[in-house]
Amino acid sequence: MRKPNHHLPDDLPIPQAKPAFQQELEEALIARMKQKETKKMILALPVRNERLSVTITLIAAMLVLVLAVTLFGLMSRSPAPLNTLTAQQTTPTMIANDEIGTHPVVMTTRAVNRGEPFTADILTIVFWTNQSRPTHTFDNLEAVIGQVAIIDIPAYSPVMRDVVTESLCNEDGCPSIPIRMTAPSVIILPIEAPDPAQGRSINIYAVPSGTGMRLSDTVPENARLLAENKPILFAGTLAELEEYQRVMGLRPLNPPENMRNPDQNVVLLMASPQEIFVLADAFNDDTPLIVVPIDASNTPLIVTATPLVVLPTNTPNPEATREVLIPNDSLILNTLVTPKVGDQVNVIVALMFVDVEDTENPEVEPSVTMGHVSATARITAMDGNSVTLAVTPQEAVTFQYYVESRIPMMLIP
Amino acid sequence: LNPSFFISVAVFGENLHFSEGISAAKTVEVMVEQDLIEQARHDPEAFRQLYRAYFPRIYAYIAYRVGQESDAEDLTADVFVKVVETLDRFEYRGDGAFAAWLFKIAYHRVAQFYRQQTPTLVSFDQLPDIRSDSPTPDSVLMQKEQFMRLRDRIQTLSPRRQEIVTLRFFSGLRNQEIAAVLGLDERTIAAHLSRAIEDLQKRYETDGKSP
Repeated sequence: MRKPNHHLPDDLPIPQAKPAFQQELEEALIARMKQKETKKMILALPVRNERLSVTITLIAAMLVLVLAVTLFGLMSRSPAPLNTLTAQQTTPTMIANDEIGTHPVVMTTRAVNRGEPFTADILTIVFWTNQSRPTHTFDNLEAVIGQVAIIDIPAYSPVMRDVVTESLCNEDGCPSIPIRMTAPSVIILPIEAPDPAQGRSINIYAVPSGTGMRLSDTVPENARLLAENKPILFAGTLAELEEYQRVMGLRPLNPPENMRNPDQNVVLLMASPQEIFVLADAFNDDTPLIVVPIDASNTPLIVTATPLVVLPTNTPNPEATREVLIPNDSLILNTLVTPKVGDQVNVIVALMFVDVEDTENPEVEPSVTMGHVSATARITAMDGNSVTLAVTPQEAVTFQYYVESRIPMMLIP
Repeated sequence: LNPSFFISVAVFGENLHFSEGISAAKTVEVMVEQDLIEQARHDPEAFRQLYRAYFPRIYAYIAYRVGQESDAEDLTADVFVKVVETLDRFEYRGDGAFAAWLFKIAYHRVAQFYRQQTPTLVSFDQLPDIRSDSPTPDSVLMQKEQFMRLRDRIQTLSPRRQEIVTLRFFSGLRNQEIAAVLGLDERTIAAHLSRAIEDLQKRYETDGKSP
C-alpha cells in the first residue's frame, strides 16, 4: 500500500463523527457481517448423504424450472380482456417460496451458564430454513439481551423462549434448577402402548400439544424410556423436568404447539446409559429404538432404523441440524460432545444396545464414508459388546458397519 | 487557513505534508491493502480495520457535502452497509481501487440524497464536530465557523468542482482516484482542481477575510 500522503491536511476544518456513532456503526456492521457469514456458512454446508444431496439438487432444479415456466408464461401472456383483468390481478402468479425461505433464530456462540445474563457478544442470529428451524425461539437479539439463562445452554444452541427469564429468583427465593436440561418447555405424559414383539405393555412418554400435567404422580420412578420411530425433540431427565415444572409453577408453561413434529405421539426419550442398556434388553432386534442419554445436551445416542432429525444440541456445527437418514439396522454411538475437526478426544464410552444381525450383508449400506472422520478415535475391547469411540454420529454408522462386518479398520486422527 | 494553501496544493500536489490523523489508517498501512480487503470479505475483524481506516474520510466527505451532522451520519451508515453487502463483488484492480470504489458508493449516495431533497440551510448547531487536537469551547466554535464558511465558498463552485475539491481536500483522494470515482480523465480532474482553487482564492480575496 502506498504511503498515506493523501490523508487530510492539518489546517483544514475536517468534520469528525462522534465517537459513539462511529463505534455503534462499527458494531452494527460487524454484527451484520457475522450474520452474513453465518448465513453463507449454512448455505455452504456439505451434504454428506448422497441421497439427500440428490434430493436437494432435484428440488432446487424443479423450483428453478417452475419459476422459469411461470415467468415465461407471464411474459408471453397476451393482453387480457378488460372484463377478466381484475380476476387475473387477484390470482397469484408466483409460486409460494415459504418452504425454501429462512427464519432468523437467536443462537448462543458459546456455552452459557445458568444464571448468566445474555449479552450481545455471546449471541448471534442464524438463519434456518423454515422447514428445519426450531420453534419457540427468538428471532431478534434485543429480546434476549439482558435476560438470564434458566439452565446451562450449550454453545451454538438456539435460545428457547422457556430457558430465559428476567431473573432466576422470585419472591420464594432463588430456585435450584438442575443443569444440563435442554428445551424444558415440552410436557410429557405416559401412555400405554403394546409392544408388538412381546405382546406386553411398555411405557411411552408422548408429548401432548397444548396441555400440561405434573408427572410425579403418574410416572413410575424407574421408568425412563421411550421408544419407536419418532423424531427426537429434546432430552432431559424426569427429575429435571419435574423440578422445572415445579419451579416454574408461577409462570404458565407454554408447550410448543407447533414444534417440529406436533404429533402427540412424538416420543421424549430420557435415560442414563445404564438404564438404556437394561431397558433395551426388553426389545428384540426388530424393534427400532431412539435413545437419548441423560447427558443428551450433548449429542444424542441413537439407535434407529428410520429417518430422524438430529437436533442441534451441543454440536458446534449446524450440519447436525439437518435431517439425517440413518441406514437400516445402523447403530450410532456417541455420548459426549461431538468433537470438532482436529479435536483430541480421550475416551467416549459407547454402549452396544442391540445385536445387529446379518451385518455381513446389510441391505442398506451406510452412506457415510470414512473420509469424514473428524476426531481421534480408538477402539477398546470392553466386556464384549462395549467399544470406545470418539466420532460423530454419522461416522459411527460407518464404524459400526465395519465392526459388525469384521472389516479390518485403521483409524487415523 | 491561508489561501496560499490551495496554490501550494496545486503546485506541489502529492508532496504536501498531510497529517495521518487517523490512527487506524496506520494499521492498514502495515498490511497490504489488497490482502486486507480479501480477508475482510469473510473476516469481520479485517473488515473492522478497513472500516476504521476509511470511516473518518468517508464521514468527512459526506459531512462537507451535506453539511448537517444527522444527515452525514445517516448517509455514512448507508454507505458502509452497502459496503458490507457488496464487498464480495468488489474486484481489486490496483492501488487506490478500493478507495475509489468506496467513495463512488458515497458519491452516489450523496447524489441520491440530493435527488430526494433540495439543499437546505444548515444551522450552526446542526453542524458536525470538527477534528481538533486540543478542543476548547472557543476553538470548537471557531472551527465550526471555519467549516461553515469554507463549505459556503465551496458551494459557490460548479457541482463538479465541488465534488472534486471535497474529494481531494477532505477525503484525501488522489487525482487518479477522483477520476475513477467521477468517471473522468485524470487530467480533467487536475484542470478542474486548478480552476477550483483559483476560484476559491478569488472568492477569498473578494471576501477579504479568513475562512
